[in-house]
Amino acid sequence: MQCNTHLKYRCAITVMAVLMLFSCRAKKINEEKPFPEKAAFYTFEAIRDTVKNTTAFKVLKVTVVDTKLNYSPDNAKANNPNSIKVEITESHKTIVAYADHPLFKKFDLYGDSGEITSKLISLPKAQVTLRVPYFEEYRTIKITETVNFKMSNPILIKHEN
Amino acid sequence: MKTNLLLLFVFIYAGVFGQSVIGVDTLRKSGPISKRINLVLMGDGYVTTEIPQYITDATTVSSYLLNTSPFSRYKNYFNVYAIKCVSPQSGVTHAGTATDVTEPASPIINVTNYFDTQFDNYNIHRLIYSNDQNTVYSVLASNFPNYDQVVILGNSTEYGGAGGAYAVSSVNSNSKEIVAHEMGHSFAGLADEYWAGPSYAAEKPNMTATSNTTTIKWAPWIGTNGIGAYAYGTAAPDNGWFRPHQNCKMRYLGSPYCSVCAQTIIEKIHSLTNPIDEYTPSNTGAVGAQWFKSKLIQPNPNTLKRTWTLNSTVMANNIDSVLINAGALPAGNNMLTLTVVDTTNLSRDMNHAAFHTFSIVWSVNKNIIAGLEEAKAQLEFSVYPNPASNVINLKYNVLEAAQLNITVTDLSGKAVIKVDNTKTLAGQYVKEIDVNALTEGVYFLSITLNGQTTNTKFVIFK
Repeated sequence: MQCNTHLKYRCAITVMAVLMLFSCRAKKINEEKPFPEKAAFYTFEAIRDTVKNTTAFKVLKVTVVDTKLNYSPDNAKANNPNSIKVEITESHKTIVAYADHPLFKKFDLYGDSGEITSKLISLPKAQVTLRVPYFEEYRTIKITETVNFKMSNPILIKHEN
Repeated sequence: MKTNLLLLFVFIYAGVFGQSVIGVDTLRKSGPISKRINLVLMGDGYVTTEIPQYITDATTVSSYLLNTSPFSRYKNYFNVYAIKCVSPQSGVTHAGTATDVTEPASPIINVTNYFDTQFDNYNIHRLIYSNDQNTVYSVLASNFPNYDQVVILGNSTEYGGAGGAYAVSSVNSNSKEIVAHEMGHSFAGLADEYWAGPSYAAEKPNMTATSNTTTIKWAPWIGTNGIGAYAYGTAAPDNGWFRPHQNCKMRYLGSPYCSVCAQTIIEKIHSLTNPIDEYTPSNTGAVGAQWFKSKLIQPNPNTLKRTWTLNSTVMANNIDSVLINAGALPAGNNMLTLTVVDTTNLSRDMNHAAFHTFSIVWSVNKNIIAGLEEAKAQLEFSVYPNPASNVINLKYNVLEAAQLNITVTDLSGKAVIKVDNTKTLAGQYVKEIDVNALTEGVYFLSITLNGQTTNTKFVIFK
């Protein structure tokens, strides 16, 4: 009888130990990966559909280089009236980046006296390049555009392979 | 000889085949790339023989920027690099297609340059921009991928420039101001302080729809240096938006950055860099009693305040290093913290201390033997009586000849007594220090020996 009790305790302790082991491992898996020592330059092409008032985006080029970026997304750009939010999803991570909208450019114009004015230019087609940390090939890229402070439904680009 | 031949080959290659990148020059190196803000310049429209001129132009523009306040105070936070791009032809294209001037406003030329930099973009004469963005980023990716800010210099003395993902400027003497203005946008996220149109009216560090001067985001500056809440215009919608100053660089070239914009730039610098450049021991886990040292990236003037605390008790202020003696440590793990905060009067940001207080925490255990012998080898000292009223005696033992400084500081870090600055030979000394003028309270006595500072606390009781 006593032997059975001991056996029960032993089994319980073993099960608890295994559970503890797994809980430790799970915690480790969830730990934030440090930034890798690679960066990617993603170049997108944006084409405006003036009938539907939407923009089509496609990935033109991804250049991966060996460098360590001290990266944080430029959140200030999210407040701009014309901007894009790009979410690049790899197998374990999503990198977020903001950029000025490539099709709606604001330029400062400089007078001789130092006075500054501006001009907003709308383009039918343009490119934009973003630099982000790189872990592995992207699976999906979600682009949400804001035009004149209005946010559109996100566009999803899937990796071709 | 080999280097000369290689350069000759590069020059011949560039001359015969057109464009190439022939290297990156360091114009200013304040510290490691990973610990500084890296300003990268690229030239366009410079042929091989003009590359020395490009380096001069890049130096002029970057120096101008870093001599503009508040960048001037934080120069040590910046590295500057110049990527040397050789263009097939010299100059910047001027197509003569602008509609805002009577063309030709300057001679019409068509130049094959590296980044397709040209005037008259979008029919605006002074809008000089590098349109071959693909090549811009290819060169950056290959030569300096960890840039923080990019400026492209077009080899033309005609006035012009533009902002965007990278700033573009000609080398006209007034164009340097364009770079400074565009840095306000691209580096610090500042709004224009002229009315750029309703599309660009948004909450920014220097633009708001709030006019109440007690709740406005730059409230701590109201009434100082011309800062107020100035409407962008007199009619709607301009009159519903407010700027902090009437004459800021974000409105007029040639003006300084207003206090609110300067503050925003400083906050950005701190968000990109840690002023604690180096520290030892680099292992902050369980370490033994020893010297703990730090090196900061100092602004000019140095407005960084450094505080060392042991188990939450302040033990020293504004010194590079402290010696922790095992004998003075309680058993178990002790927390030694170095805290650095910028006390610059150019920032009154209410979140400054919350966001930009930098610290290193070491766990120090008296049972771990590490580095103490080295510390002991330089200096041993004691202070008595403690507490004291009129006089303290400092007994010290110098083991090797050294330059010696003795300073007494109050709790705020202010030096209240400076005793010595002399070459001291090896030996045992007792120095009497008159503390009669000190009021009751806690003070720190620091001995600096060959740049290494050791502290001890004493109390004045009257």
